[in-house]
Formats: sequence, C-alpha cells, structure tokens
Amino acid sequence: MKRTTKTLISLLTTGLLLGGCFSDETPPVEGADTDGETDAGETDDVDPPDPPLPPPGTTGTTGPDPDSSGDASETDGETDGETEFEFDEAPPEDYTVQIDRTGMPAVASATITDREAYNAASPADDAAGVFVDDIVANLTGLHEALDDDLIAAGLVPCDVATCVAQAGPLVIPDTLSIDLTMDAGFPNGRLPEDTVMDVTLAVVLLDLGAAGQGVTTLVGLNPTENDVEFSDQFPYFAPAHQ
Amino acid sequence: MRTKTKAWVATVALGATALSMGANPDARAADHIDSPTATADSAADIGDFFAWRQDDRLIAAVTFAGLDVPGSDGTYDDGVLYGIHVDNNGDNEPDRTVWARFGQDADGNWGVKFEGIPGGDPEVIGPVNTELDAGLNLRAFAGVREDPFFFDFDGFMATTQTGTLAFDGTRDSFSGTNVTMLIVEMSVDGIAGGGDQIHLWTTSARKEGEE
Repeated sequence: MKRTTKTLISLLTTGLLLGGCFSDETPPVEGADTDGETDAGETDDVDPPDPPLPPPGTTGTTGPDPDSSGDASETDGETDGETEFEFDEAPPEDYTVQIDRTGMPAVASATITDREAYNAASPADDAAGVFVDDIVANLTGLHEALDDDLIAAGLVPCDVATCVAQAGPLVIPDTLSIDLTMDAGFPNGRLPEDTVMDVTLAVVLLDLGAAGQGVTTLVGLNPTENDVEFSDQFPYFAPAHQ
Repeated sequence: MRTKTKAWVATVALGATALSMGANPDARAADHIDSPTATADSAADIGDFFAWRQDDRLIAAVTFAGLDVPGSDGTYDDGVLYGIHVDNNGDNEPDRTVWARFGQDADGNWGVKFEGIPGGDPEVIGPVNTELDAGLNLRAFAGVREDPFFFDFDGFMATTQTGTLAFDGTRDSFSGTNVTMLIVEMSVDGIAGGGDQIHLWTTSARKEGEE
C-alpha cells in the first residue's frame, strides 16, 4: 500500500518545481567522519585527545555551510584542536517543562484543541484516552464543514464512527510506529519523501471501505514532493537554502 | 482511480484559486500551528519527525525552528533538551532515548551533544553543521537544512477557516525555507528489545522557570 503511494506520486508530479531551490544534491562525503570526535565513555565535555573533527573542508555533508562563507568556518576554523563546547550538565529529569512533542505528522494541528495540554502530555496519556473526546469533536467539526465539498468532488466521506475507527489506531497514541520486518514508508515510519499529509487526510476524511477509495486517493491534493531532492546518503536531508 | 484522483485535484485546485487566503506567517511544518508556548519558543517548536529503517540502522530526524530564511546558520539554544524516544515493547513508555542539546565554545561557536544513541557511543560531541561519527559506523548531525516538509499550509488554513476545501497541489508553503534539524542513526540491534515493533516520538523541554 505504501509503495502504491510512491507510484502515484511520480505519476502525479507535475510542475511543482518552485523557485529558490537550485538544489545542490550534495553527495555526502562519506569518509569525512571516520574518526575524530567523541568517543564514548566520557562523561564530561569534549575531549581534546583526537583532533576533534575533520577539518572544515571534509564536512561535505553540510554542503554549503552557512558559516564557511562568512566567518572562518565556525567551530573548526579557529578552534583547531581546542574545541571545548560547554553543555548544560543537568540530567534529563530536570527538564520538567515539556514544550512540544511529535510522533505522527499533523495530529496535533488537525485534531487537537488544547495544544498546551497535548504538548505537555505523553503517548501513555494518549493511550489512556485523555484526548479522544477532543479528537472526535474535531473530526466531527471537520466533516460538518467539508463533507459537502468531498461529496461534490465525487468522494465518499466517512461517518464519524468510521473515521475514528480508521484514524484512531494511526494517531493514538501519537507515535510513529515501525514494523522492522516491513518495508519502510508511511505509515510504517516516515521517509522524507512520503506524502504523509494527503494520506493522513484520506484516513481522516474518506470512507476507505468505499469502492475506489484508499489511503492514496487524496495524494496530489497537496504537493507530492519536496522542492529539493532528498539523498539516500547521510544526512539524507538537503542542504540549507543559501 | 488515478484519473479520479486527478479530477479531484483539479476540482480542489479550482476551489483554491477562488478562495486563496493569506498565509499564516507562523506556520510550522507538520506540527503546524502549535500551542502559543511552542510557537513563541522557536528552538523548542518541533515541526516534523521522521523515522525509517535502512538495513541495519534506524534513522530518526527532528525539525524545529521552521520557516528559517536562506543563508541562516540555524537556531540553537542551550536551554532546550531534545529527546528522541523509542518504545520497543508497546507500553508507550520510552525504552531508549537519545538526548540532544546545544552548547557553545569560548568563541561562541555552537556544538551539539548527543547521548544515548542506541548502538553508538554514549556521548557524541561536535560542532553543528558537521557530520559526526557516533561509533559503530553510525552518524549524527545537528544543524540547518532545507525544510523537508512539503504541504500547502495556506490551503490548510483556508480550509479550516472557511469550511471549504482549498488545497492547491502546486503550492508548497515551505519551499525555499530552512529549518534546524537533528539527524541520528541508531543501530537496529541496539533499539529493538527482541520484538519487531517499535514506536517513536520526539520531545523538547526546558527546566522549570526557564521556559
């Protein structure tokens, strides 16, 4: 099912090349990282032992490093061998104010009213049903507003009970689940190129049991690919726009 | 079905042209429109989360501080603790967590420290915008990247505000923008607790009184 998405994506991809992205595909420089840095064990800060990191030039992956143009290439440039970063040493349990959390794409944005509470909560809270009423209420509102449009477009919306049955397992708890024995691709994890939003919209809006409808039915509603290509080599995501 | 989809897209696109509402400047990736607290705290405002298996490794990536402008160095804050959590037994509690935080050196250069990368070194420290060796052939990275999210956020906002579908498949509200990212490779063997099912999520947090 997920691979179908891919096929569809390529079929539907039309003229999405937007401005400002003369992408550099940056072939990541593999050997660049081989040594240097950090080695285990150390509890406190950086260790000067080995020349901390490869010289700036070898950092290929970062591609056009914003810094390298301006000042003498951040960090490496002037700190040769002396890089001594200072980090807050407080243990994780001291960070008691959770500001944000994300597992599945779009869950909070589309279906949660009290985002402060949601962000401060956990997957265990989700599983305990803390936000179910909120999600159902928002799904109901969404359908009241959009069902006429869906029907006009020849689609079959799900009734709320069906929507909840379809979407529930996907979005509650709010984690990205992966079956390690299956091929990667949303909703089995999330690859950079997956059209997660249109698939999620289909699950939330459409009756997936209706003839001719499936999770990929809405693919193409939104752009089907990023403005810049991804790489299958580390660090996988494209260099920043300069 | 393909034909149908196309027709549908065309229909929706037409609706979008007719509607075309203004963009929300605070749009934020897949976790768009966040709570006031998260939106006001760019470094802690998570946009997207990615995770996938590739051979013997599991790659996880987090974006934050979205809608950054071209040429930016990224957004780093030494008061935020990022967590990438893995539940490997289905109890919705983290069994493995990669922690990440930023710090500066005497010259003001930013570095990152990762702790707890499954299968990797207990601590991985290095400059931002640099590929870091995490041990066992695993790698880690923190720094600015092109925002990988593609979505018609303007259409989404218009849709929710007007109750009329207003998506436009040619409009990527995030094209041309940057975002700061954490990208970590973990060893599949180091993650799995014997089972084949894992569940991941990411968090950002601050200390009490510093939020």
